[in-house]
Amino acid sequence: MDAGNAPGLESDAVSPRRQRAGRLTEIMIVALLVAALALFLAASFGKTSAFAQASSGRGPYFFPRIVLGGMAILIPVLLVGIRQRAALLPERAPLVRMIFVILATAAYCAAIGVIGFLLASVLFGGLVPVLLGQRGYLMLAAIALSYAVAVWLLFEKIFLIILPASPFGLGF
Amino acid sequence: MKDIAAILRGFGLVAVMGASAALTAAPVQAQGNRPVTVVVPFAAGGGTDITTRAMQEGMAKALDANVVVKNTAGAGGTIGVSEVARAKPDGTTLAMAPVGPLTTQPHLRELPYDVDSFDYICLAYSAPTVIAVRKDSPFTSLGDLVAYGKEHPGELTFAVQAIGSIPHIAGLGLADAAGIEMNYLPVNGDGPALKALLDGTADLFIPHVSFYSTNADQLKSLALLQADRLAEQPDLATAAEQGYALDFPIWGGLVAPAGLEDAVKGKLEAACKGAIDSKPFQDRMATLKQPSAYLGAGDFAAFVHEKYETNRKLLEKAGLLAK
Amino acid sequence: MELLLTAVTQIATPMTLLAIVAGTFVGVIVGVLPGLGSVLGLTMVLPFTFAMPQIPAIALMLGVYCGSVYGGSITAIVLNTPGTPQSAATAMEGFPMAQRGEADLAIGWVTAASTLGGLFSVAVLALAGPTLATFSLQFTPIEYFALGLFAMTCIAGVSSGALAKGLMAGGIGIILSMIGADPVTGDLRFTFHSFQLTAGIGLIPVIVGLFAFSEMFLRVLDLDAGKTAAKDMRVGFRLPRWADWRPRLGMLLRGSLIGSFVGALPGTGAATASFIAYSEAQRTSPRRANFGKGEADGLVACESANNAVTGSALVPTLALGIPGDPVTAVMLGALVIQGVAPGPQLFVNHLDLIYAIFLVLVIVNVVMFAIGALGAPIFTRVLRIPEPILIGLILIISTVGAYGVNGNLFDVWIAFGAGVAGAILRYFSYPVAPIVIGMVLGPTIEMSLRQGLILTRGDALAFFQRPIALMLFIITAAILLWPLVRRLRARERT
Repeated sequence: MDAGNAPGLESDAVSPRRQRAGRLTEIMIVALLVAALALFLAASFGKTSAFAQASSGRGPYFFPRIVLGGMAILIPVLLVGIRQRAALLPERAPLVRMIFVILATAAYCAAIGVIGFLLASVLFGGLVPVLLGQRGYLMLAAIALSYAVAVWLLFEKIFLIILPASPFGLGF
Repeated sequence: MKDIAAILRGFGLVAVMGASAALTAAPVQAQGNRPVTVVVPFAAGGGTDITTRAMQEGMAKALDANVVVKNTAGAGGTIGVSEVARAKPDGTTLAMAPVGPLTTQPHLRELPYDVDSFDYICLAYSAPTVIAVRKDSPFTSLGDLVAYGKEHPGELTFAVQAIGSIPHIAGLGLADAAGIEMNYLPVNGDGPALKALLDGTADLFIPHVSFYSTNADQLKSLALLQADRLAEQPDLATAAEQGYALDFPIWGGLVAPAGLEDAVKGKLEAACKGAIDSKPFQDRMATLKQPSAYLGAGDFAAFVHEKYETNRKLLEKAGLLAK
Repeated sequence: MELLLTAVTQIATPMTLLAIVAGTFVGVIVGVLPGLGSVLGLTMVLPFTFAMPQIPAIALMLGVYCGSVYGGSITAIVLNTPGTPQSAATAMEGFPMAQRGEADLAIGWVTAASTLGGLFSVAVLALAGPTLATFSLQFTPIEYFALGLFAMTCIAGVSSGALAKGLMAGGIGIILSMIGADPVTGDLRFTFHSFQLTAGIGLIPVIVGLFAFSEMFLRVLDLDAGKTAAKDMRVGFRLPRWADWRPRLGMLLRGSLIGSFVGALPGTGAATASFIAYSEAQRTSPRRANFGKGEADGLVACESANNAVTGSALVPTLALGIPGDPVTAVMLGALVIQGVAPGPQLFVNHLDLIYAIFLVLVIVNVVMFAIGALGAPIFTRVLRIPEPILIGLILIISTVGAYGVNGNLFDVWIAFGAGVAGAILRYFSYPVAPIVIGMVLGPTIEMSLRQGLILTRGDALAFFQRPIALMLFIITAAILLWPLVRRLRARERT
């Protein structure tokens, strides 16, 4: 669905090194897929229950193996595709920025379980714009605080979805 | 400054959402004590879920706290129940634990909890099951069904709502008692089982009596699977009358993580009883044609432990036991 | 006629009308928020229905239901983060249109198509309810298998130009849906000794990750790229002109028909309908070259289809007592506790109630249009929030949305994982919509295949002996072979 606006596909003259790097990354993705296929295929030879063996609808691994087989056939097609045209890697600066945001998000997900949703969200909501170069810290802090509180109220008090609380016994 | 104005307008959106949702949500808010979460281990809309939600208001009143129903479905109800087994035993996290996750699933596979992981608060509902066929089915009694099954081994198709569930075990029990062979067709729950009956792919299934009564338009009961006839629906013939002593109720009750303080447990038990005795709850159960049932903490614990053993034996007999 | 009048007087009470407006509003809001959807909205209002009389209770539920199906498409357009599975196809045309600065127009298309599709299905429910219910019983597991395969061909439609990658993504989706307890035998598959995985991988957290999280990650990459400046984004609500409508009326009708038909089959649903309608539009539209770049045809087709499901999904729910999906299951549960016994008799003995439901649905669709028109200026304004701030805010609301489905932190990690994977896949032009299609259709196809084999005692040939199934198999084969035939013919000519 993103073939049109995928940022990596450019045909302008670029250094062969960048082309190689892109191709290598795509090959690595395919390699990961192959590894996952192998893992799932191996897992499909696990023990099945007595009930499964007695059932005439074939076992639990009958259908997954068909799908895994079909995916395996696609692997060479993907590799040929990479030979013909591979995407370019993004420039270093935005890539580093993205990795930071992803790491921050992971830390946020982990923090929700530790310090509760509200505190984690205030921190995260303030941190992301700073990581992305937005200035005006007072404003950002105010936005992060009010937004986190608004979302928390919406879920906790109105949707009655109890969100993880901090261990400090504050009620949030 | 334009940015800021834009952001503030964005917040206006959240505020409007909040205010209007608050309007609709206001009546459930019973402030006071910390909210109590009741985990329903199945999807919303099913029998367990509806019963729990029908109790919600009464319990909230008795506890003077918000009571929140949370659906954590998956893996035959074991995900939600195990979440409660791991929770802090402070009385704010409970599960409406049905027969399956408590007494059959632990025998079918390795689970991070067992029957001793909980403090038992109350049995909240219990309804017998029935053997149901299509309204226009040629069978009119259990005898007809068994006779056909004996003549045509393996030709009766029995729709199974979930593997290892009470209806499944009941079906195996029927086959065993009557000495017939059936073809088992797994489907995903009561609705799809009804569909399988109506479109002719299955011949019978075993729903609980409340589901049967709601759909009595299209279904016929061959046998009620409990010892005595129901006071509410005395026209349903039992299996025992027809020579097969089959008794398979579907029940459920409130449980808390083991280690509850006695005072807290007592309060929850009283709240549960209050909710079940309340008129709105009784009215709703009457609408659902679900017989009322209640057991206090002590009796419920003994009841679960007993069923845990009986169901283990049934599963062993059916060859479904994991260990 | 007398019954209709009774129904009108039942509905024309302040309480019912308030219930319709409040329900539709709540529905639109939960639809807009990523992760929260129809089921959550319905369970939220369920306790209130207990305390209400029958008609207002039903009105409240129907409002939430229709509103939530519509609401998801707004987020899909504005942020490319479909709030619900059924609006995943909407994002494919709506977001490019919004990027051109025409979010107001995209919302106009979607709102109008949703309302018209919804009204169409009300007519279907009113005119053909019981007949359609009987017809849906022609669909046994074998027909479902054939239909599932047919719907799978949508993958080709949504992976424009990257068929192998799209098919791979579809396979990934199917395999993800296989994790957990096997629905047929109860065996645990692919859980790798993780207890959490025995419950399987939820569709909603994956969608939140694949679309919302990955979209935000990818936006970080081209923060400095020159795009339509925030201040040039048109906010508001703009209805398409009649001249633009006229060539698309066929799309609208076809989308509504597809939605009404698919909705009447229990066990399918709005997501399947919108994907089928989208790829059908893409196959037949004279403007198919514009697909993926903000073509209104796609919006009209999938939005009329997914809202047409709302009315017709009530057919099996009411006339047979068989809810087709988790959403109608909640509604049926609420109806039963209101003392409504579903079944064919309902259409005979309680016609007043049925008429009341029709009328409520009509009003709901109109109210939905009004809420969309009034709300669009607010929703589209989100586009003017500076991106560095917006990214953080969307990540927060998506995280809490993923949490809210089951109240489970594990789902948050699934969403995060799907987000990282989605960002990588999308960067390298793997379409991710097929993952959703695979996850939605995989379980149906597997379950019906194995049920079919149980019923035929393992005889695969028996699958081709049933007329409806055979027809569907032939159509599927024709769709798959058509591009090949076209290419061969083109070669002959040169």
